[in-house]
Amino acid sequence: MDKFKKDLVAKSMLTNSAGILIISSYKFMDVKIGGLDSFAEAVCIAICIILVGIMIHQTFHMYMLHIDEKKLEAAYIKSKDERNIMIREKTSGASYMISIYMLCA
Amino acid sequence: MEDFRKQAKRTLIIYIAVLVIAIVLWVVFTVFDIAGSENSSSDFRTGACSGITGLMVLNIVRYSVALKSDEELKKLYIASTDERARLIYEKSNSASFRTALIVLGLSSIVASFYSETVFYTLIAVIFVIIFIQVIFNFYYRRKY
Repeated sequence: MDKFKKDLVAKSMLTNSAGILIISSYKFMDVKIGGLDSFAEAVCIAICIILVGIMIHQTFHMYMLHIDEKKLEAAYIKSKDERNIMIREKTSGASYMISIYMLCA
Repeated sequence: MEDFRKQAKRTLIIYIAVLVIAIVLWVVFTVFDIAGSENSSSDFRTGACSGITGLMVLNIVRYSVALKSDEELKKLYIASTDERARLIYEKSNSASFRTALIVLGLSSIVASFYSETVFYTLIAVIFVIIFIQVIFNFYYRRKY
């Protein structure tokens, strides 16, 4: 269970760092270059808000798992569910291949 | 094994169809020059078509040989059902898919300050990828 907890923390930290990287790059470019038209700016801000939402949700979720053993156990069982793993991997694999072909086309 | 033979025949037909399409596109692009002949894009089209053609020829040869000999078919069956290879394939696809999405998100933010066209294209690509993923997720949830 400890390994699972460590994996979860690592995953969450990785996602949060990716989110922070994207948001900080936006902020940095905005300050350094600026001059975005209003629609593009709205899209960028929407992306940043979505990322912040995801990060807050993930941090809160991690905190709940940290303080509640039962929830951690439920999350562990859910993460080991063969069906979910297969669906997630098949979905990513197929979408990845189709996206690559589509982009090439 | 009979099921696999049928599946291999279907795959072979798909490969032949893709080969024909690639050759037709290649001929159209190079001989008739429909899409214009800007150097880099023309070279990319030629490269992509020749790459697909080469890959399809290799696959067609592999499948044709396998369909003619039971031993080769068995080898192909073992190779295509190897648990380890499949796991590596699916895991790497899954990881690269997530990384690609993050990189696309970052690129779109950076591109927004330089070129509107690139920015909107990247945003469209992200949405299409997410849409494809939702569709596949729905499909596999119903299938399994």
